[in-house]
Amino acid sequence: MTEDDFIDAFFDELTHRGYDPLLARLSTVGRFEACDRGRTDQWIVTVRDGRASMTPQERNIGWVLRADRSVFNQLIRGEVSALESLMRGAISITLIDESQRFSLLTRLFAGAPAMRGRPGPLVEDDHARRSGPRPGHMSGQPSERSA
Amino acid sequence: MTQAVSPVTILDGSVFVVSDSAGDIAASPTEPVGLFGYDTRFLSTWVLRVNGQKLHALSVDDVQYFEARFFLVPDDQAVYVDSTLSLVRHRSMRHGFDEQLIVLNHGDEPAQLIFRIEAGSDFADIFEVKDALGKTGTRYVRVEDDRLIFGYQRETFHRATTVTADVPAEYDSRGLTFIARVDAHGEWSARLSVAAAIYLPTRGNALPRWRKGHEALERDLDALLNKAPTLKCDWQPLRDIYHRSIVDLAALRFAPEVAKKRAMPAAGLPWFMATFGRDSIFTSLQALPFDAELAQTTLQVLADWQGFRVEDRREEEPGRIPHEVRYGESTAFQDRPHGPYYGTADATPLFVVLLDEYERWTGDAGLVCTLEYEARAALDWIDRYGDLTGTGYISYRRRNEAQGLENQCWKDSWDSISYRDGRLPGFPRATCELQGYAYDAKMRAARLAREFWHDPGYADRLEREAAELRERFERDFWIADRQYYALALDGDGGQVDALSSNIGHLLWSGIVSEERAQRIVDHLMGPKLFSGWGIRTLSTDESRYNPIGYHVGTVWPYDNSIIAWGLRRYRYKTEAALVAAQILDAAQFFNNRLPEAFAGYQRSLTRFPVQYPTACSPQAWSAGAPLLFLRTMLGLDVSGDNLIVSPALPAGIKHLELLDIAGRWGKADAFAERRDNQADAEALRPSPATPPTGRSAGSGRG
Repeated sequence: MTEDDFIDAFFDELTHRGYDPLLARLSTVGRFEACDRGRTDQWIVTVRDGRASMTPQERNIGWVLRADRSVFNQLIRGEVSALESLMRGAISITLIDESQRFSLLTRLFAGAPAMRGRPGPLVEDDHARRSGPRPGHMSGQPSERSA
Repeated sequence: MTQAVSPVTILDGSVFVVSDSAGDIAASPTEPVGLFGYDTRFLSTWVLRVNGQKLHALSVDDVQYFEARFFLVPDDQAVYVDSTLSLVRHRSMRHGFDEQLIVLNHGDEPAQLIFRIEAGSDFADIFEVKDALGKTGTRYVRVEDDRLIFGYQRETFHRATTVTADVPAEYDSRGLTFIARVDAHGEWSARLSVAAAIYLPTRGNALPRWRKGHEALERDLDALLNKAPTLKCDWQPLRDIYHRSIVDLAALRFAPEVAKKRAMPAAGLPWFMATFGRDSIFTSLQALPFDAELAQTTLQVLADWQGFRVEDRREEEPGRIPHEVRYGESTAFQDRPHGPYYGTADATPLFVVLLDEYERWTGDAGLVCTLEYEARAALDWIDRYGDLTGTGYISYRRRNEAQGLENQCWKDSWDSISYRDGRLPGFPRATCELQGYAYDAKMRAARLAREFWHDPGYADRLEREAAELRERFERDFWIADRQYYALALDGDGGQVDALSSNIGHLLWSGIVSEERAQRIVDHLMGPKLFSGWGIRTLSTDESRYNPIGYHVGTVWPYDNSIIAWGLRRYRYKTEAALVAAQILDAAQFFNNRLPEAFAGYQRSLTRFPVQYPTACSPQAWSAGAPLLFLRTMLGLDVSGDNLIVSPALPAGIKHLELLDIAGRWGKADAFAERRDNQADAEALRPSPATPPTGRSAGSGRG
């Protein structure tokens, strides 16, 4: 199925945003995994001092958030909240570092500051790609993890 | 038969079991009975039979909130005292609940008994029970050699209940059967377990692994009771009410996922066992001198869920503190907007108020610094999103027309905000107490900005804005010919002129000018608002007044506790003590447990407080009310690093001590002694002068 795919634009914005006070209480490293038709793309994101960055490899992963690519897109389009998705079983979160809190991690889905003042997608519409799944943007490697 | 019908409830935070007095559960789709957890009913049928007979309850011991013992005999023996067989069901909370069955054979012959438990689950969402809605997904039953599993799936949503026993049993799709052989004068026992599970992909059961058994819960409760200040008082009911409040708050403590093992208060059983912004904040304020951890956790949890973007369905906005967080099916599938729902206009300023009060009391500057961003975001929300009309007032108009709350203040029923003639005002509505909360939030935040955030410019600005708000408020809300503040401003800025208890909250917030305070007190203590059992939500003169209307005439203990605190703020000690005395007096009629609300009938008419029909009980901010009344009567406050005590006791209480009050001073004691001053006693005497029949002896008042 072809649909607007915001995922790359979302991670691109998140990791190039610079300082965001909303993220200042997050000190974390985690892996996002987007699954689609047997393929898994992954993004390892580090948040320190209010800045998010992409990391190709990270040993000390604190959590893994995994969902179908379509669910990620629903989240990024602002159609569903992270808590709703979690309680529905549509996303899974594995907390390796038990001190991490899901409620704070949902701030990673706040989107670009300029987009927060009105309903809708977390990133600009024109950044969406009309496409199916794409290779992992930063890691470029499908995850070896399986469901 | 003579089966008692009063429900028995045991709970551990947001997981609870409601059964009949024999321990059986036979839920209809609309009754809140069964095993509930995280907004889902995990067990709707649990009926025990012995040799085909139901059991009759002789008595129930549910002294501890997390366990109950049902003392039973087979039903046909109910009329005989000399039953040769008795049973005890000892039920206690764990991952769902455990049930120890104990059979006592008093006869001279061995007994062989066939036990049958009918079990089943409808997996109803709590909102489906409340509103009698049907299911969309698929239920399944799996029978294994040693267990029975009920499950429910809807797409990726998966909940399950597992029933096991520690004795050989035969399981089938509708329950389990097992046999007991009990020697003459012997005893036999078996343990059944009902475990609830929320399945998430790759994570398995998401329900906390640390869920405790009753032994650990008992230790926790003992620790909590030992930690709470010791109360000494010559009026025995107050000691009982105090104990009940501490235990109920312990029972309602739950640890939402975000707080890990720390606890915050859920709002109330059975419908509101969830994170509620407003209720959790008020309860934390009430309980501060007794258990400051509730405030700490509430602040952290609400900060974590603070809104960060505009979203219409859930009414989220940057900086907005949530109204309600739910975990059930209707939330997961967006039939309800509670994941989380942000439709509240007061929780956001109250969050700032609690943060300041918490620091004043505990001296925990660390949390004030950690949550600086969230506090500033909340203050920004007041001006940017809370002010819908651009007039400098917080107002509300729901953005989710289908599911949002019409009234987003504490009186959130549809008809709570009205003109004197009964008309309902247009939106946005700016209720008066919201402006008080905003004023207080700005004044308190100015202190935080100056002392902890090192931003004197911001502090100056907040104080200037607060002063302007106060001036504006006095001009726009004061009804000159009636001499009180309007309940609200309507969508056109016109005054909604009903006389309500909301004006009492204004005293607590400090927005009322000194010159007008006496007028407000006169109204609060006058016959139209004051029932003799407390202050009504709405004056008897108003068109919509109804003594059994949810927010239009009932008396709310929580409301009264905040008003009494406000009376103290303006130095009306005597009046504050009277309000406290009336509500505490009422508590005796509810087994020392104040309900959410009771009827607003005049005391001389009913002679006892009439409970509101569907009130939640226990309810957190009702359990917190006696604690705040204690603070009010003792006049506890903070000055610098010291605890201030300035007591004013009502007639009937001569001696009151609260020992080991924890705060920034370490621990301190408060003592109050009442002089037998006749004039004073008259002023405090509750009406009517003669005590109503049926009240406990020894109240010492009236």
